[in-house]
Amino acid sequence: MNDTVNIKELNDRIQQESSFVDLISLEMGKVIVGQKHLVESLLIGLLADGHILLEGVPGLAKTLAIKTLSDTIDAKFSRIQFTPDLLPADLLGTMVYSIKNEDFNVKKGPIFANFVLADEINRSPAKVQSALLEAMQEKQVTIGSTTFPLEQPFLVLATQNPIEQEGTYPLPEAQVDRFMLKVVIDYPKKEEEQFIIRENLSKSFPKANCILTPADISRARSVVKEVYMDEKIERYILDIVFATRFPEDYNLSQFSGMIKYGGSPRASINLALASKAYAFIKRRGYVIPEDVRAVCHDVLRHRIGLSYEAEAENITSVDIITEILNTVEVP
Amino acid sequence: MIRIFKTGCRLLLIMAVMSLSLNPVKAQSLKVSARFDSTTIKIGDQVKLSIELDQPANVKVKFPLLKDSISRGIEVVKVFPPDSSKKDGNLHIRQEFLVTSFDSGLHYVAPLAFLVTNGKMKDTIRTSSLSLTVNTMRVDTMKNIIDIKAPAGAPFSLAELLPYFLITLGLFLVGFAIWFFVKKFRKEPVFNPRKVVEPPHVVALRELDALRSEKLWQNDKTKLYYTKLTDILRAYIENRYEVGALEMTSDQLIRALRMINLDDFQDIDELRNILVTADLVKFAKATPLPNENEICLLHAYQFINNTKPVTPVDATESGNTGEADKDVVK
Repeated sequence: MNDTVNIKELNDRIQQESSFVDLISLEMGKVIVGQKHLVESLLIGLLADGHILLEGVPGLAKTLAIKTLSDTIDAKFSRIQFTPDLLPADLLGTMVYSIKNEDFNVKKGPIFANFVLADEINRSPAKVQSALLEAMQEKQVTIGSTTFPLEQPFLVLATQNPIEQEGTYPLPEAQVDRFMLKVVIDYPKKEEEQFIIRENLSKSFPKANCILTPADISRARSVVKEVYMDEKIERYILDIVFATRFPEDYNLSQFSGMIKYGGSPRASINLALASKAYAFIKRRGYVIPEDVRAVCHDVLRHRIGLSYEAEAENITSVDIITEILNTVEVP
Repeated sequence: MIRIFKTGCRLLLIMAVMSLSLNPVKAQSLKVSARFDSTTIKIGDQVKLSIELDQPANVKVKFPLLKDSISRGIEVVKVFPPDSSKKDGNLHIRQEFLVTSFDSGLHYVAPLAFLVTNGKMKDTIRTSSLSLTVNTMRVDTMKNIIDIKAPAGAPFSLAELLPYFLITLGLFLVGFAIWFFVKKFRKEPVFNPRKVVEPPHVVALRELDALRSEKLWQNDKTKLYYTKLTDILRAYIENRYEVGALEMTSDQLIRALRMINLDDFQDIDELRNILVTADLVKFAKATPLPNENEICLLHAYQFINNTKPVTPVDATESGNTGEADKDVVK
């Protein structure tokens, strides 16, 4: 096969640059048993510069997975437990009066880190959620009259619990849209759980080694953006996103009354970016339809608003996305 | 003089008529009568008025003209045609009228006049006067006023629907007959017209032939060539194995085919090679060598020929049948 030069070069570069992916997976695999999809999603978020919302019942290693990822990178990690009495200043930082200097000094909050774990984000009121989500979007924080850029790479991994909804503040649709991926974690398999028990009962719990620097991540991110995406793949992404908005145009009229609103242009952008990151993880210099399908559920599931009819019929956004993928023609 | 003559003639006619009326049994008499079936009715009820005339055949008698009413308060509902008969040389004419009244009380009916003409003599003969008592409903004033009774429902009968049913059936039969004869006239099959559905492999092989003749990759349209090639194969697999091949990615398609027990897994491997090459061309700007393009097309022919349904053919007929479906490996 006689590949054109740029793709061949790109493929070679990606083979070279993506070698750390296997290493990260290996290191994470020491600590996290199973949850392959979770690990892949964390890598996609890391490489595509997108924040991740993790949803799962307690005890599925959500926090541990994020902590382990930060361990593999020589980066600053902070964890914020969101509670109802949390204030924006607790998150961003504040001005503290110094008696010694007779002046106000800036005390930066835990958001000034490379990896921020916002644990149980839906337990805090809207003003704290807004402060975090604004920082996620702008990648800078203003304290007093000074604006501080956030650390690079900056990745927010928020978790929320699908049960115990009493006393929670569900994230508004506009704010959920800021997350590139919403990953739903399920229970591990029986054999995996048996291994988890053994690991936890052993005297020495394994620890991931640090193998990357933030500069490596920044370089990998720039390579991810160079992954080739053909016009056919772009049209495939558009077809999928447009099918969430106008299902009747794609022979999906059964969902016409069930979708309140479909994916935004941000959904198309994130689907394209996540597909590129997935192709990078698979060590390919170009995107194929498999990549789009692999990330489609995580990118779109929180971007489709369901009507009361859908809820009455027990139709979920995942059902709609699956049907869209089974109906939209693959290029 | 003339006046004396006319008066004399009239007297003679009256005397003749009177002499006839005094003796009704005798022939050649003139007699008129009128009577109600019942002299008492309830308000709104109907009663028949019968008028009878016995007359000699040579006398002309004109019946009284009763159109709308016979007196004030008694209305004519229907006029029956007169009935006539001959007896003992006399003509007997009877006519009935159906009458009603909506005014209570005693109604007087003046004598009905018949105009008699005998030659040049004319006279009028009258019936006796009649009366009709119309009673109103008794109202018990001690009781409260009650509403008008609702109309009594007529019992439903299927016979009422029968004409409509027959008309509908008739129209349907006429329509069907027209449709049937039009179909016959056009020589189209009347019932269960069979659509000729070509087997998927026949369609796919024909489209591969067309693709080959288009010479796309020879004209630097490699991407279009592979797009068409994979579309033909996907459409064939979809119709042949009833899997949603057009909506599947290459890996999904291969996995789906492995689930189906194909006889030869080599065919799947060859198909996989075609799809992988096509993906590289379509999504990674790859430009295969000319022999790779030819091999992909050859493998596509082989895949279709090896996986098409096998139909048993008689040994005697094998020489001249199945030519259309014959393996074409070009």
